[in-house]
Amino acid sequence: MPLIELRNVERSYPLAGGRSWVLRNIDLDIADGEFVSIMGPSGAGKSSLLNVLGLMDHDWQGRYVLDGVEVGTLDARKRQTLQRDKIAFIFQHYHLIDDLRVWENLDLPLQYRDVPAKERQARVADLLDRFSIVGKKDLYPNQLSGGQQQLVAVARAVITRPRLLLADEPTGALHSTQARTIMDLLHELNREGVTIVQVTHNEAFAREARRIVRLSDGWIDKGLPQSG
Amino acid sequence: MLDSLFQDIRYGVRALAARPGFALAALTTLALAIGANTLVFSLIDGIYLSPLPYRDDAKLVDIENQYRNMGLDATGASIPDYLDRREGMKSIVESGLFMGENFNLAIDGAPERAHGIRATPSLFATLGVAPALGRAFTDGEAEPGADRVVVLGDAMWRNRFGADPAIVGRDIRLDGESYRVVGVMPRGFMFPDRETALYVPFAFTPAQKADTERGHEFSTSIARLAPGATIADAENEANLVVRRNLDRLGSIGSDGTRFATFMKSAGFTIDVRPLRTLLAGDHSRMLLLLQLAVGLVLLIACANIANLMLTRLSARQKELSVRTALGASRSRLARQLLIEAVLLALAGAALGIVIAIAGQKLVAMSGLMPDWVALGIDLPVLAFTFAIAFAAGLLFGLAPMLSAGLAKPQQVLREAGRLGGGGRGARATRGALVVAQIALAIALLASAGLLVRSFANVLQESPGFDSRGVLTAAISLSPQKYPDDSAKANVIRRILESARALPGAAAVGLIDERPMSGAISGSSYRITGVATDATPHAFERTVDEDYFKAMGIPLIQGRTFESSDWTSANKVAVVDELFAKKRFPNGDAVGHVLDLDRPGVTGRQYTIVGVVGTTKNGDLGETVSQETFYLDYGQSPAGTLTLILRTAGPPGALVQPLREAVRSVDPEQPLFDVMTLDQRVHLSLTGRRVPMQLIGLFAALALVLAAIGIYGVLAFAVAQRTGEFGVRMAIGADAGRIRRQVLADGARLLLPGLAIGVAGAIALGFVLRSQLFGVGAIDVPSLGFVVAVLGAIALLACWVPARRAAKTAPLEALRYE
Repeated sequence: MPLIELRNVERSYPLAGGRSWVLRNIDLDIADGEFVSIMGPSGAGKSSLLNVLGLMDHDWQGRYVLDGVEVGTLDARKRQTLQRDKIAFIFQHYHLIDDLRVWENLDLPLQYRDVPAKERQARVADLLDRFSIVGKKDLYPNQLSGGQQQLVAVARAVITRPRLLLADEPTGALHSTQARTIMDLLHELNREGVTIVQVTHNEAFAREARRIVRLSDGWIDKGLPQSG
Repeated sequence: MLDSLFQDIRYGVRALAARPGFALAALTTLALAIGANTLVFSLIDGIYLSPLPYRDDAKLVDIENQYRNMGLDATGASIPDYLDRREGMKSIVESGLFMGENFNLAIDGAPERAHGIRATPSLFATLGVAPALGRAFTDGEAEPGADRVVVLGDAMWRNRFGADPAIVGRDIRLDGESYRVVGVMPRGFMFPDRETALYVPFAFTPAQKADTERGHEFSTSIARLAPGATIADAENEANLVVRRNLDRLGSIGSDGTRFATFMKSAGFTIDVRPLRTLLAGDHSRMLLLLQLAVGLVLLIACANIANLMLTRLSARQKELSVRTALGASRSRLARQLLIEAVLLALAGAALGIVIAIAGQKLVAMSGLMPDWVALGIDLPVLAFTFAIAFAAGLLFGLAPMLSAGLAKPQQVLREAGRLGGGGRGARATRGALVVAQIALAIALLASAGLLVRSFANVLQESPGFDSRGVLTAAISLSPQKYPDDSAKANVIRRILESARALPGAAAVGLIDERPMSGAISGSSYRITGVATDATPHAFERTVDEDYFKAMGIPLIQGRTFESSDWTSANKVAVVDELFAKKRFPNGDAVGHVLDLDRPGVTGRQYTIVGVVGTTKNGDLGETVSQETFYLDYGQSPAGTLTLILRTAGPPGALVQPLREAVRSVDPEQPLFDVMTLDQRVHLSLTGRRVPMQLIGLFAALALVLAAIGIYGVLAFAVAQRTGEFGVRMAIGADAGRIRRQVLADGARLLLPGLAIGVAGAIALGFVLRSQLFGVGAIDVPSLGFVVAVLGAIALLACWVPARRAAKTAPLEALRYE
């Protein structure tokens, strides 16, 4: 059973005199432990698809089964619980919280999940160590470089041990060396079993995934061969 | 330079016009706060700063006798005192003596009461004001028998005599006598208040000039200081005159010695004070308190607008960075922003003046100010208004700039770029401003709370009589028509009889003062055969046999007066409970003899026949510390008195019947100052009520401004942090957590604000202490209530942005980013 199963998913926005369609008839399965890249020109629906996958958007039609759960039947609270349990995000612009130190940024998702303090401490220390950012733990995000910030953002995403990591152009704001580090990190996480879906404009990084899903005007472009 | 300034002003006006919402919010806040300041300052200006309508008024002084050891600090002056000083003091160039008197003025047969003064001819020269028409009195007219002349006030001349210039030289009837009008005072002149409508000569009899008249201080003396002389010079010289006199009196026989000993032991001295103090009364403390209160309101308003400016500055970073890129210097940018702030403040001042004028009308109606104070917007008030507006503009214009670090534009721009406006410094400043607002609002609200509690406590106080269902009306008998005691007693007896016959009149009495007016005369006394402290002094009142019944004053011991006392040779007195407790702790007051003899006056021994309850004299909040004795009206008739009617039905229904009852006895006798006793009690509370209402109003304003401030800062912070909330929700925060977080942010501002505010409130409580009644400077219930109210309102102000934050859709938030 795939981790993600989308059937005939459609997403549109009301517009004066009609609707604007951003996702059309999406059928997509993503297996547990897969690494998928989503590509396509601007406005193709990449971020919209990521938002549907990440349960950040629920105003769509069709069927979405995540890890055996019919997402469409869930109320907001259950949807949030599901999201909290299974999913984490990485954003192009890191979206760290400026007023919190590095370690506090890592601690926050655990707090939101009511993890006991002792365990939080251990997990934060563990991740700081693993991502080699112990020395930066007391700095504020604006005291870090972009690459370091994204590193912290990835650490913050995986600290909750998600099944699915959704990355929206994770390397988009970074120079090549920093981007490479982040991609290596994603591969490592994937090897450890985390399912990764990344939206990217970078063809080379996209190819590093097992599969590329190409979107065009909201449709999945089925004509192209998938790499893998 | 000037050109670029005008350009900046133009830009400023345009920038304000481009954001009408901001301009409107800021203008409303400023107009209210500046208006309140202008209002209070205009009261101060009206009473203490605006020139009095006399020549060189700063040189005019009031010379008051004082009996320090008796707690009497302004008792006026006697005629010989006045004459001594006039002759013996080089530090004064001119002086005058006057006493108030009510006259019955008859025009076309209808009696009407007119308030006037008897004044020495020198009064006009002392004030430096001559009549506009005719002349003042001459010294020759200040002789008994030659004194039937009158100078009219402008208002009386216009209202009663149609501004007829030919009135000078004609006769008018005062108290049934003909008085020749010799002059009319100029428009705008008033002395000592606007109620004074006419001036007649103060003619001294030889007896009045004698030493025996000393201690009869029913007049007031004023003087003009000599060039170069100070108030202290005059005071020293006047006291020298006193010492010389006492030495002289001490050496002329037993009466003189007794008098000199009494004066010395009473701590008799002279106090010279600015004439303004006599005319204005002491409002200074209350006005300073009000000015302090509105000053705090203005500070709160400045904090609010500084916050608004800061918010706006954040939103304008792009514009400012473009200006910088185009070559605008730091100082030029700062000037631009300051000009906008000052323009805003000045516009607020203009609107504030309108609000102040409306406020002046309300204050004028309240009866708080002396009647001669003309409230208006004169040059000093205008200057004050625009000066505080300018200062406020600088304050709320500079604070955000300094906090936003305009000194280093690159930093501002960098921070602005990162955080979407409002760097950490700006945020800290905004927070500090809100803390300050909450603290100031708490301090003001708590002060208002103390005053309200005091007022409520005062209302609970019993005046010592039952004010419900009682009508009071004053009568002033003409001394010409009723020249002696028996004539007065006869007519009053007939008036009382006809009033008692009125249906609905349950009891009718009289007293020689107006109840709860604070006006009460006193006298030194001894108790025959009982040793007392050096110089006991008591309030002296003359009442009839039904006064106590009409007022509802309880009889505690013995009896009150009886109608037979009027004609009895046995002089009797009733004392109040305080008197009895002080002088007769064993409860044996009845039967003792009250001795009111003093040098030159003998045969005033009164047997105490009863003890009645103690009453308050002018303020429900006063602690009566001076004892009172009552004499029988029939035995000591007075010309001016107040009728007291306890009525079975509504007191108002008896007004007309009472007038007719009086007219049936003497058709020329007017009734005046007609009001219920409840109204008199209410009136006596004006000095407490109006400041309380004003401070309450200002505190409410402060509360609203503080609430707007908290809301504004949190709402702005929430708007700024939409993206952050989106991220938080994306990493697992639910709506409840976001809401709690915003509320906690609000609480972080609220709690220090409350703590500082409570400290400030306690400090203000001590400043207010003299105005409080039945409540200490630290009043836990009212402080707790105020903290709860402000806390609740502040939390409500936090709740709205918190709810908005909790509704953040992560998707939109991140897109917003």
